[in-house]
Amino acid sequence: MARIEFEDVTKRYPDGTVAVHDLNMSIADGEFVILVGPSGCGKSTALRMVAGLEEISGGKLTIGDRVVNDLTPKERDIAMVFQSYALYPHMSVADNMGFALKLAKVDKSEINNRVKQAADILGLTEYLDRKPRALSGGQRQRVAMGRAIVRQPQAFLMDEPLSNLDAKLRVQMRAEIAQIQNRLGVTTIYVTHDQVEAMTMGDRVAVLKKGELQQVDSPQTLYDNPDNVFVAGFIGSPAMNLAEGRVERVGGRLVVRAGSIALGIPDGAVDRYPRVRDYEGRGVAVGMRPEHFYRPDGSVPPDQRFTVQVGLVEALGSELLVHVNTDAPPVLTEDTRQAIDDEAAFAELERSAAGGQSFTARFDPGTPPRVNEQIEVAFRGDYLHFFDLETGAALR
Amino acid sequence: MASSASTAPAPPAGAVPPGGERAKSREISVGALARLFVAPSIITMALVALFPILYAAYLSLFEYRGRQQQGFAGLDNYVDVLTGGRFWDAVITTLIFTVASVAFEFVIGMGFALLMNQAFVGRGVTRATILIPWVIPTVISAQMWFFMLNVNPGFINNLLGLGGFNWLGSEPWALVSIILADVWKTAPFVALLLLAGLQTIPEDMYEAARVDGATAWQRFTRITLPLLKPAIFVALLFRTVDSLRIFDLPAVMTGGSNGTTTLSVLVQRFIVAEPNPGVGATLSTLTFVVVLGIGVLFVGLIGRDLVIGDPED
Repeated sequence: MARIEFEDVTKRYPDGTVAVHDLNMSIADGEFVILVGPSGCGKSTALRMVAGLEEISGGKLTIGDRVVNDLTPKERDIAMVFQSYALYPHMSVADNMGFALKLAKVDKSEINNRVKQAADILGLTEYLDRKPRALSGGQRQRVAMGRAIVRQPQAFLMDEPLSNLDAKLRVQMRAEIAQIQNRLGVTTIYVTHDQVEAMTMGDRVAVLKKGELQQVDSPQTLYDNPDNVFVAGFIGSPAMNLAEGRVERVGGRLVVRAGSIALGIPDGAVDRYPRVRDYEGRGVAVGMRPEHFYRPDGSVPPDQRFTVQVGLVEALGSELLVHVNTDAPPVLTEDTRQAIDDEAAFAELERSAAGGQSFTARFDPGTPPRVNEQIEVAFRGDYLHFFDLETGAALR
Repeated sequence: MASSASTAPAPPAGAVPPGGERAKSREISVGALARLFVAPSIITMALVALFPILYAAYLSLFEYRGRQQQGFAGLDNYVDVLTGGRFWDAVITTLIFTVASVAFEFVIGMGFALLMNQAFVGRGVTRATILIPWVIPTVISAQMWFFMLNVNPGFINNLLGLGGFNWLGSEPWALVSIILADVWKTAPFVALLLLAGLQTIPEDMYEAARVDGATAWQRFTRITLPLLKPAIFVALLFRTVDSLRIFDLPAVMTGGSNGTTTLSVLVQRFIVAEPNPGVGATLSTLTFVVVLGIGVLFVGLIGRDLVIGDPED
């Protein structure tokens, strides 16, 4: 087990594309870190550089107390779980799991012991003699895990290991992997594009965009205090509503106006984003998470509520997702384009920008509003987020 | 179409549906239908492949003088051929040729295939270059080698400074020359077959092996070779069966002299040059039996699990 240290680690391809740019990150011994980001953000490349499958073009990568830049994968003593599992089809489950040990000339009985132990942890004991093709998808995934476990390596590297499983199995394996990692205490880097995996599995989450690290923090910190508009828009599902607004002072109080929506900025929000005071009379990107909307009663002051038209209602049983039409202009920057990670969706947003955008609000279950109905919604102003429109940086 | 009767709504119990008898008699089982569809291929195969084989076997039972059939000879031709030396000499020559050429073609073809499977600048040109010998008709490349192996002035003798070395006029060099020509021509074909196999092995298999600590050689022996087994089997089977029938190279380069009379050359000699079609047919039949036997042996030894499927499944 070991600490993993990225110092200005860079990946530049011969054609000049930079996949990973000056990555700096320190992963503690035994820590479970998730690399997350939209497609093409360099998360897999970063992982493959740790594995030694991708040459490091610049910077320094340390595993344990060795600089591994020029070491082969073999010398790095790491185990990797591939998205496709990459099981050897001609070997039995036991041979697949024991292959690395066999190559390392570990004693046969020792290999057997370790394979049995891992099989036990993963519930694979009765399948040890089978070939991979005679296994289900979930079992193959376990074998891939087992192959990593028996190695007792310095670190586990996992490249979207659950993306080939169906939704139900994914939920189950998600918990299992987290448990196994916790139990074995092996330093783990886990690449995913799945929000839920990112939020639930790791100690810390590193968010990447276009090869650059945006923020590394515990999932909750990331969610509550995003460093910039990209992280804000990327983390969270349904995503944070982001609108272009303007900070104004009305009767001694700060107000943010987005389209016809005007919300007072309470002290709680100013405490979290103190620089919002400097933006008086200027444009900002204002962020509102869906769960901080609520249906107001008469006692809610008018500067915390507004009237919108219902566009779509999704009743999920435990909650109610209501898409409401607003005239608040969307934030159309590279940050939000990356955060949406869907060219078609972003193009649609761009096309309809002049007419405002749709906000997603999450309400407690109850009588759902009807489509096209005008409803009043309120927002918990303390949870407003503010970012610079140009740089995307949080106004902290 | 066969199911049109069976998918019709079920008639009430006991009622005889109108035209029910007719519908029943038209119904064909799935198996029969499959046989019906395959029948044209089977018939064609029988006409072009099975008929000549059986006809040759039939002819081999007759005695000939010149091209004139003299009468039924029973197995006399077989007794003559199997007790005479020429057949066995040809068998040995053919086997030596087959083993040597297939072995070299396999090793060189594997090298080419591994090379062509790498991503590098100029891969397209390399692939095309490697495949050129295979595209040239054998008769032409045989003639080309014949010229190059000429004694004096000979390109190869000149190149290697061998003076008046007589490649095609001495044993065992005549056979060696023919093996060389065959390897030159057919190694690319083996490479092509193996390349097709290599490309089915996913890249992450090698990456997993690298992470598992396998050296390049270990990746080749533990991953590439086992996963390439089907392609290797096909390549070896094709090449072995093909080599056993070798005719054009010795026919053009040596005319079968100096220890290069293969089975096919011998057959041609008896049918055309001698001529004794009875013995020729006997030799053809025996050649067929040898090729068939080796083919069956191949499938039995190497390919059973590939042809029939892994018993573990």
